Parts: sequence; structure tokens; C-alpha cells
Amino acid sequence: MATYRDALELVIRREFGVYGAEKIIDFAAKLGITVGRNGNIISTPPGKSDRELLVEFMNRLREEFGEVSVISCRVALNSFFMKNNLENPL
Amino acid sequence: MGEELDYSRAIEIHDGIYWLGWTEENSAFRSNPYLIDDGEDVILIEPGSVPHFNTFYSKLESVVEPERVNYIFVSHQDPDLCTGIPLLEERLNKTFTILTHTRTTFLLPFYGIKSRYYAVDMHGWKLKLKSGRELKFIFMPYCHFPGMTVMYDEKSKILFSGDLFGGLSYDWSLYAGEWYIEAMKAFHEHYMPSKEILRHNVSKLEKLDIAMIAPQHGSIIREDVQRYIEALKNLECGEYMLLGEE
Ligand SMILES: [Fe+2]
Ligand SMILES: [Fe+2]
Repeated sequence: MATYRDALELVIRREFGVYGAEKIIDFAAKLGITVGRNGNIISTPPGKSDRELLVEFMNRLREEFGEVSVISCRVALNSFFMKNNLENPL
Repeated sequence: MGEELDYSRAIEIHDGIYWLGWTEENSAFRSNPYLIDDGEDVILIEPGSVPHFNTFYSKLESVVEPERVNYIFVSHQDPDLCTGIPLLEERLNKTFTILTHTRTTFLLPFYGIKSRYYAVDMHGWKLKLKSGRELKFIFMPYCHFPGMTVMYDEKSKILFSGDLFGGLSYDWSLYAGEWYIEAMKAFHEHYMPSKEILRHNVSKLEKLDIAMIAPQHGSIIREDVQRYIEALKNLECGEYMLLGEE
């Protein structure tokens, strides 16, 4: 069963391609998310659901990197939510 | 990988084949003009746009006498690859033979282009150069323009793929790096019409022996070509992916 954590990893890997892994690993760290070199999530901050984290990640991404960061994964996220019958929280 | 490349200069990507593009820190959407110097015939590929014309021209001059260019290949009519053509005609005071699909020939004159056309679909999808070298053209309709056509150089085995295999990335390098497939997906998800059409077209490439893919945006693919072809064949794309957003 696909989860919001999978959606967050999809975003992370996509942004690796658009901004480079280094920048995105550093950015995620600021949100308390530890990301590995292959885009996997190693740990997340306590007290937050993966769904909340995804929303926060996307909002902060837009603030820090601009619209292109959101546009570059928008279709992929929509497709992911549709395929997996997950509500789109964004 | 790991080689140091000077992007301020033209870069030879294969014997007699050059990248004449540019880099821009703040752009995720770079264009890649190329050139094939085949002696008696010189083919300019997707030459570029108005704002980058001078950069492009100085690189062109650094590899051939620009007057020697006799053919220009364009995969489709978008401004990022075509608006530099009238400037080149003016600078050199000459016209060229433009290799492209008939559907594209109807639109190009609106840029003020004066050159004549060689509609590849009317000539068996190929062009034999004076040296005997053959250029093949492969039709990729609706990816993303209805006349989209890519060019395969039999001698170098390079596919000049137009928008196909292009990428959207600020983390750019001339040759595709570890995460280029993601940059490629980011572009194709927005510009390609549907999974079925993309898959149908990209499958046509499987019968070619491709050593390198040189797209009009993004990075050149010179390793694991098949992996990138597979990625596009399986890509979910199309506007219907955004259903419910309007
Ligand atoms: Fe285009
Ligand atoms: Fe383009």
C-alpha cells in the first residue's frame, strides 16, 4: 500500500533531479527530515504525520526555491494520488 | 564522468560534432544547439533563440567558418530553437536548406525565415550528404508538436532528439548525471500529451543503434541509453493527470 511517505520520497527524488541532491538533503534537514543519498527518508521529526510533513515540505519548497519546484512534481504527485486512491492534501 | 568541461566554449561531443549551447545559473530550461561538420556539408541543429544569438554565434565561429553552414535541422517550430534563424540569415547574408517536417514548414515563415525547406516526410525520411553520410528522420507526432521529427546520424550513432529526452533542471551538466531521469520526467510530464502517444513514439527508437542522445534541452545521454528510453516509455503524463485541479 502506497503512503504519504512514498509521495514525499517521490518529491525528494524529483527535486534531486531539478536542484541536485546536496541542496535537497540540506533543505530537508532544516525540516528535521534526514534523507539518504538515494532519496530515501531515514528519519522524520516526532509528532508529525507523513501527510503533514508532505504539505509542509511542499510549502517550504515553494518559499525557498520558487514555483518551478512545485511545478516539477505536480503531475507526478497527482498521478500518484490518483493511482493509489490517496486524497490529495495539497 | 568527472571531466572538467569549459562551458564557455564550444564542446566537441564526437568527431566533428559540437555542442554550441550556453549555461545560465538561473535557468532550468537551457537550449542546446549542435553542429555537424561533414566537410562539404555543415548541418546546424536546433540553432537557438534571439537572446542567446551572440553567444551561439561566437561558438559557431570558433568551430567552422559560419558561411559553410548549408543545412539547418529543426525538430519543430518552437521559438527557443528557431528564432535565431532569421538573425543568422541576416548576419551571413545567406539562406539555408531547412530540414524539418511539412507541418513545421507551414509555421516557420512566420518568424521571417527566408530559407527554403527540405520536408523530410516528402523525401523518404532521409538525407544523403555529399560524403555519402546518411541522416535519418524519425517521426514523433504530438511529442509535443504534431510535426515533431528527430534526427539520427548513422555515422556517429547520435540521436538529435528535439524536446524528447530533454530535462528541466537547475543542476545542469552537459552529460547526464545520476538524477537526470528525474529532470527528464519533470519536463515530459508537462509537455507530452499522453502515455500512449509517448510510448508509441519512443518505441520507434528501439530499432536504432543509439550511442548518444543529444536533446534540445537538458543534458546529453551517453551511457545506459536504454534505461532512459524505458523511463520515457513508462512515463505517466498528459494534462488529464491534473484532473480536478481546475
Ligand atoms: Fe518544444
Ligand atoms: Fe524545446
